[in-house]
Amino acid sequence: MTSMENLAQFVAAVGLVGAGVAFLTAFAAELPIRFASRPAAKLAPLCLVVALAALIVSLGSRGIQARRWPVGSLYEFTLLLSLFLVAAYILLQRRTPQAQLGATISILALALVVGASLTRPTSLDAKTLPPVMQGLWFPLHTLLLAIACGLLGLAASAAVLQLLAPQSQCTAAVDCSMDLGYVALSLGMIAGAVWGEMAWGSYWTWSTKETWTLATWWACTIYLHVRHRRAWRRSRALWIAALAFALALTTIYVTPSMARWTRLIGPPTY
Amino acid sequence: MRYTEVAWLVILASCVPGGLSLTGRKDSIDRDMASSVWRMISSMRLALWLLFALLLCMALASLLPQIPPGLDGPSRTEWMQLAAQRLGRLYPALSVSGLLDVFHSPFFAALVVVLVLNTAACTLHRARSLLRDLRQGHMAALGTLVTHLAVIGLALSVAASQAFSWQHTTLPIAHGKSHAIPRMPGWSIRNDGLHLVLNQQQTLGYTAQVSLLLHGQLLHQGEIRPNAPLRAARTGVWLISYEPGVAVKARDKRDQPLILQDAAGQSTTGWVFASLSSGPAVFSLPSAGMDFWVSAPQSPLGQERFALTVQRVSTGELLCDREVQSGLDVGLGEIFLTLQAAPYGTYGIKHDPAAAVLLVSALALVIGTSLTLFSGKGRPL
Repeated sequence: MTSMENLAQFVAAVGLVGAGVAFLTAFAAELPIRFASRPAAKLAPLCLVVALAALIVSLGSRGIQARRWPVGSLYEFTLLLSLFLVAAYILLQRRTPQAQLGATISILALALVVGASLTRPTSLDAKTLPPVMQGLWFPLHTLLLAIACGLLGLAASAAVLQLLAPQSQCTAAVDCSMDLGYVALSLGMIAGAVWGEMAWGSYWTWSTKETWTLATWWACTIYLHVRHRRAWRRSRALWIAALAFALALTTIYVTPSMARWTRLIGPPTY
Repeated sequence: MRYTEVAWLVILASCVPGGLSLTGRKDSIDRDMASSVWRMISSMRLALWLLFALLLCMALASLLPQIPPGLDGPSRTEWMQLAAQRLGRLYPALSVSGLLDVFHSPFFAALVVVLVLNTAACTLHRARSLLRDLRQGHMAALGTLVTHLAVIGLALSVAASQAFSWQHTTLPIAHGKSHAIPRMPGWSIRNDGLHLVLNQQQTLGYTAQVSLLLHGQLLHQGEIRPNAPLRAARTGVWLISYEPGVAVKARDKRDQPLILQDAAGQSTTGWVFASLSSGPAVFSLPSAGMDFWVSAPQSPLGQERFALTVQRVSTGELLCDREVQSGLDVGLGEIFLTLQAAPYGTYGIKHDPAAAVLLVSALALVIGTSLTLFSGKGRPL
């Protein structure tokens, strides 16, 4: 881990703490949040933008140091996920940012950054990826899935807020981020399938990770199909949006353990 | 009636409008049966039930050991024994119900088939309204149509792939040697050289030069890497991995090559190759009455040194037991042995006529979905 990477991660964490506190204060005081407004009201979004920039610097410096795309380990993916979570909020909420949603995103992103820092590799051991992970398709696949997970995280946060506080008007945020997340997830899965075909000659092998990624995609598909149905109360569809992100997190953090538990013979070698 | 059939009936009946009263309505008992069945098959409710059922299957499959694809013969038996040890009393029930091979089980296939039929029926059922929307210039309708057709295309291409594709994933080939390609009479693949890029015992990368031959004539040649196969003759050749190997040559004091016999009993004059992936390689030198064993004592990656043990067959006398440098001669009286590092490339070969359709369908699905979601006048999928 380089000092620049370390420093940038610290700045990101401070920025996220600042954004969380500012959003919560704004929510409590019922202050309007604007990305382009008076300085006092801009504090929370500003902190978020600083955190985003710091995360970009952190991952960028790691990538430069390792001379590859910083998408090769769980640590790097977690940082990417927090980056895209924050970026999704900033981009999709730039006109009418909601304080509660901003606070939720800040806390979630902070948890991811702290979690990544606690589980980071002691050295830059992922400097060289296994040969099978080199090339274009693996980084593209990972990048698209990180974007999708960031968007699904935003959708799930907005959905949970909407469920807890029905007056919060977060449904548009859920819909928009689910739409974009679904497309990114689909493209990510296709890129992963192409990578698998290039590496092993198989588009799909029903590995644990693939299975749960497909489960996530199906949850998103169900959401897109039921959200406008009268038979489905809106709250049920929102639960599906939250479920999709829970499935995505399971795919990222739980499936390696599942794979270890269910594997009876040696792991595949790359 | 088995519990699975009951479950199916419950699912199907719940999808019939006015059928099993999950919705609490019983007002359509007199409706035409065919119409009801059609509405059931083309209903979104059925699709949702199926998706939830498939999700459940997938969750189960990821919590239970699953038979690795392509495992057959003794390996499959060994896997079954391991599963029986791990699962204990649950094993017989899980094995019989197909839960140890969920993704290739009849019930999983049935769910997928019904889902595809449902998608097709749903598309047909809504064709008129979709066409009306299309005439009015609603791109979202086109997107919905493309998405659903893409799902059907995906399913058909997967089925075609299952029916007509074949794959061999482990063909270890020594340097300079060729291997007949199964299912392609007259064709063979030759390993023209494997190149490892190493850094302190870590493999940074590896490439291989391979040739595709038809009746011994060179037709295609190229370099392949782990994620860059060679595609030719409607077939792909993959470099899956590599394994340590050794090339051995024996000669007498007049520099005349001697006949060497490998573990399979095949006699060769000149270089003889053997894999070291599953332990020492065994050779014999019949003219000198010697057997010898070669193994890679250090990391098999570099293979700069080998452990060589030579024994006289008649007396069992140990003639040599030491490490030798790759490429250098080892003198055993009037006989000289040369050991050379010769890693094996492990290749995979696949023929899949439906691969392109599969990819196009997947891309069409994304394009269709994007049209539906982002074309402004969106409509539900």
